[in-house]
Amino acid sequence: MITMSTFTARLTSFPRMVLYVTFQTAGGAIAGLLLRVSFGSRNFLTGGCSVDTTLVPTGDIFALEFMADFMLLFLAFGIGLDPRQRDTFGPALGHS
Amino acid sequence: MPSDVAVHVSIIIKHSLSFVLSLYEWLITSLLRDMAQRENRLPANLTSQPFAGRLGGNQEFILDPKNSENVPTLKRVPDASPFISLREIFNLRGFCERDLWKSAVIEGIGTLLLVWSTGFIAAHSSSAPPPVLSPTSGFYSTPIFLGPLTGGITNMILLCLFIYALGPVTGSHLNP
Repeated sequence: MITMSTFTARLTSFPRMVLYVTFQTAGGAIAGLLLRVSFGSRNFLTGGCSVDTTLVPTGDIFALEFMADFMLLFLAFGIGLDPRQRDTFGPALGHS
Repeated sequence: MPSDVAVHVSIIIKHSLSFVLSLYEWLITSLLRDMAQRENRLPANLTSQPFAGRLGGNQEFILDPKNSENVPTLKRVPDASPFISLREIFNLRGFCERDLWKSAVIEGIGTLLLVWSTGFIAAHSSSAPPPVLSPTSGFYSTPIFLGPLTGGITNMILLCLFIYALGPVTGSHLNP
């Protein structure tokens, strides 16, 4: 999400975006397989990642995800990527 | 006679005191010299990849495109500057960059660790019979709620640590 948003904000080049998104997805998928091994079976649910569509309509889930991602990007661009935060969050974000 | 002894003792004390003082002085000066040398040594070869879309503000880790020294790097990594043309953004030369692949692999490993830890903490069995709801707190006292709650709390700590760990290397985008 952050990779794609920085791409649309012209902070990330296209090859970097493709590579990052590919490897993030691959990492997530391998983590899922490892999770299955560590849990011992496939019969587990992670609340929030799996939603029963018979109980919650798809539109509601879309609104929820949209708001959560909007908040994430709003905070990421406001805190992590804004050059004016150098003095406020400087040491925490890797400035000298 | 006793006054003579006292004079001798006072001279000995004076000499030993001055000796201790000079020793102390030598220690301090050598310590200061050491510190000064260490300060000169500190900026070792710690290189961070210039990249505008990284954590920490897009003005700190960038290269000026008007500086001719930066032209070769910017040709290799166009997003080292926040002012890129569309042609440079879509330039496919980046796929041949080893550094980009390294960053992407590290990003993937970070995502793997984060997803695994948080997922494992938050997971609950789906084959077990549904838990009995408590009359006072409803489903808030069941694993369906408590699992993701614990996962969310640990995720707050882990995500911060992962962002700090990957920030200088890849820019910490970290999205599963």
